[in-house]
Amino acid sequence: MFRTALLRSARRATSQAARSSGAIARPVVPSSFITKSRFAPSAFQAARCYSAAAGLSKPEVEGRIVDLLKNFDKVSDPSKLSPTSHFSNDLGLDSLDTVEVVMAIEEEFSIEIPDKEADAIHSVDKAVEYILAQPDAH
Amino acid sequence: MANPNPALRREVIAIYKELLNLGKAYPLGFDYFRPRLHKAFASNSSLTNEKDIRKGIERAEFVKKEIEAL
Repeated sequence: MFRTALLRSARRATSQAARSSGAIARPVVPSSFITKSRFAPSAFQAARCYSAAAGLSKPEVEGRIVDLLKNFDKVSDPSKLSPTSHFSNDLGLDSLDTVEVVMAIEEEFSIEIPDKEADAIHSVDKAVEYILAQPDAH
Repeated sequence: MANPNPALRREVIAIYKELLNLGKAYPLGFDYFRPRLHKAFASNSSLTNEKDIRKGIERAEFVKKEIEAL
């Protein structure tokens, strides 16, 4: 929990730094590296190797996906949102909306989902299952 | 859903994604762009003929170039 909070604050600081440096057109990658290492305490770095999995828990992934859908304005009936809801049957999304949801999930967890797998994600639990199977999801 | 040609379907989804990504920087805002893009694709959802779908993809490519030129 503490670790994810740290990660989040580091990420927020990074995006802010990237935004403010955008005017000078400095490359984003090195600046994000610098801010990240400045904000993360050394104990955290010692505890987790760079190659280690982020270690997402199922409830956390579910919560983040449901939150993401809550903010998606095309969901017809937010009360039907649950960790098992089906995108088209329960939430009234068409296939194009599903593509958008999958893209939003890609952004949320900073991974890339290949087209083939993306095609198979039709419900919240399918998405959760897929994210949990990805070692590099954040 | 009847899906006689998965390769073609994937192509359409790929161009949809590309256009969505381009639309994030659209001058009138992404909130203006997204429903219109969605409507444009949805209005062609009844196409079943491969030739017609190809034409649609070509049009999407054209729109993509127009947005890139903005």
